[in-house]
Amino acid sequence: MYYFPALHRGTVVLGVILTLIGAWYVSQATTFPRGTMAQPGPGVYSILLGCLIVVTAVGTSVEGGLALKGGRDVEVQWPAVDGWLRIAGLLAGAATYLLLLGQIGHLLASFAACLVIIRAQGYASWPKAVLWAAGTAAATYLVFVKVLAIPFFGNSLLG
Amino acid sequence: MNPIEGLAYGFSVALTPENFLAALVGALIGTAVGILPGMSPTMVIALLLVPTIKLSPTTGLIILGAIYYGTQYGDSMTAILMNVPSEAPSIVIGLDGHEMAKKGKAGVALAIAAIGAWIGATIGLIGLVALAGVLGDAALKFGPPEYFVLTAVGLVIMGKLSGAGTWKGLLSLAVGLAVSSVGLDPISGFTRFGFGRPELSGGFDLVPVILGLVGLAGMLRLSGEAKSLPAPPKLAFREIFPTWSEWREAFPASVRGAIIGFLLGIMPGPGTTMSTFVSYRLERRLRPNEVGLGAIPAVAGPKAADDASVSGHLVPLMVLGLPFSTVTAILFAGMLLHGITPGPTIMTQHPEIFWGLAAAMYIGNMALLVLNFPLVGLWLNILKIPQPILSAILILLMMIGSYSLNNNFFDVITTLVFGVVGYVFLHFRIDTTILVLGLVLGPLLEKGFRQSLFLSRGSLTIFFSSWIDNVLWLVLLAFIVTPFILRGTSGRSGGLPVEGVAGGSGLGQPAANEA
Repeated sequence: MYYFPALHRGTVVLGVILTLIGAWYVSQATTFPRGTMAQPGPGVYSILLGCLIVVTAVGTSVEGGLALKGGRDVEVQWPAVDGWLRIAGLLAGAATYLLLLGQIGHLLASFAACLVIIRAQGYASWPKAVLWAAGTAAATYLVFVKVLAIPFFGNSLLG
Repeated sequence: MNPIEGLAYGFSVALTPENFLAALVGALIGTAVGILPGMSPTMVIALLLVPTIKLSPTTGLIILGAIYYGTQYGDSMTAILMNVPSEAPSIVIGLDGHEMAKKGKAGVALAIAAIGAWIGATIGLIGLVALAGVLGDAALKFGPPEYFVLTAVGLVIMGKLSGAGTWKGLLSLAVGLAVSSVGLDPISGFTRFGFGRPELSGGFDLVPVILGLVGLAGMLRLSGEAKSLPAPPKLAFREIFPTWSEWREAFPASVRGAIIGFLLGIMPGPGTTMSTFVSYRLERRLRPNEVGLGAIPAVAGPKAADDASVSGHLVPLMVLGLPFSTVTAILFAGMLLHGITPGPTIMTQHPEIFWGLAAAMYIGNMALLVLNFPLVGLWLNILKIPQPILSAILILLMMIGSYSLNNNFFDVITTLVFGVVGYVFLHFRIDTTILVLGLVLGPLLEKGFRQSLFLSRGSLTIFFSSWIDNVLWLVLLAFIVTPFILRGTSGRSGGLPVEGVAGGSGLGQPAANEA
């Protein structure tokens, strides 16, 4: 396992990032109509929310900083290299589905996505992976396209 | 309709062939998916929300309720048999449940958990029926200021109770509220943070964001860890029947746990987690030499508390339209998708939903009790499906769920982005369930705030004008001040037991990520 970034250090960084996002949110919110106190516009609530993000993000960052000052940092169990590869595989599978759905329809897109995920998760056998992917794609096609009649791009069998 | 008539009507709705079948199917699907290590009840219900949209509102909500109960039981099974719980309540149930399993009493522990769940559901149903009518009348007196104050106080309390620290809890809440503010302002018609993009002008739909934060983030975590799991034990049907003395030990503990669970479930905060811990502590106090070594009451009590708290969570959702837990937030999203807004009028305008759901959850629990004994072998076989295959199926379901909501790709991208955000937050122990609650309750909070100011012509005193508001502010004040007083007098932290498991169970979401 790799332990970077550690908990308190990461909390400080995350707090700073969210403080900046909160400040940007407030700056955008000040351009919205504010109305009056009796008839508040959409800007009032947004400004209050932005301030809440800034205050809580600064608080989180300071809390992380104080914890860091007070003692050793706490390790965060980030995945090892193979873990990151599996995560990338999951996201790649999801992206495959997203990119192919509009081009070739649900059945083939889901087959391709399943194959990417199954292989990336370390399933060794190609023939079995193909069979599982085909079975999963066919099952979801039957349930979502045929039974639940969800209008995917290309409702025909092959897109 | 008085509560007894309402309940009778609810059973007549729940026992129609379609709804009865939905309760059975939901309970079975829930158990089958919930038994998979890492699949927390919250994750499963988020994942299966979209496929239920095609059903009628009553049937859709009945199947969701049954799925949730089934998943809770499935998670308890994994905790008892393999000591691999996915959410905090099951950690507690597994403490003594797994000790029993190690002594060769796994079947008895499963049976005790099932009976405890049923007793929890029964007492929860009684509590729900007793309280709903009374609170329903009281809720009609709630105006915009009361709604605003109740929502704000509830959210702040939940933020503080998030288990990962007050600042992180409140930050997560603020981010959720901010995400909910994107899109068309319902009062003025002004578009916030739209940047000229039509997809953003409509705002973020609840379901894709929840699927990302709860479902995809949990899947990424599971995939990154990929721990090798212990093999499930073999279990014969004849081994699952407790003896008469074991029943007698379980019953009073279940009743105690159920009462604790229901009462804590009503309140804002991680009621399910807290109630199982409180119940466990109570049993440990009553039997200090037995609990921890495989004591039946330490399984029965927490399991009953776990299930009764779900009925408790339904009270603020149904009566006030305010979901104060992640699961009820997902149910709330489901109701909105069906065009139903929960609140004080639901009992008069949609009695079939309120009473039907209450009765169906009970029937779903009965179904679990009857079906889980003979099917225990089947559930154990599910654990043999390879993890890569399950990952593929679940990711595909998530993508289909996001896409099919509005048939657009923006929702799928939303799920992916929030999945990554949720994954990062989980690692830094920022409770994403609070973010989900902020997202769901944000529009209600803003509506209450602005309508109140309209009513008072801009005077902030309207938020202190009724006794309800003042009591709620006092509750918040007491909640904030009490830990400092306790710390000052005893020198000990006023932290909750959930903080002890904030690091998580090691699978699925961190344990404290249950609200």
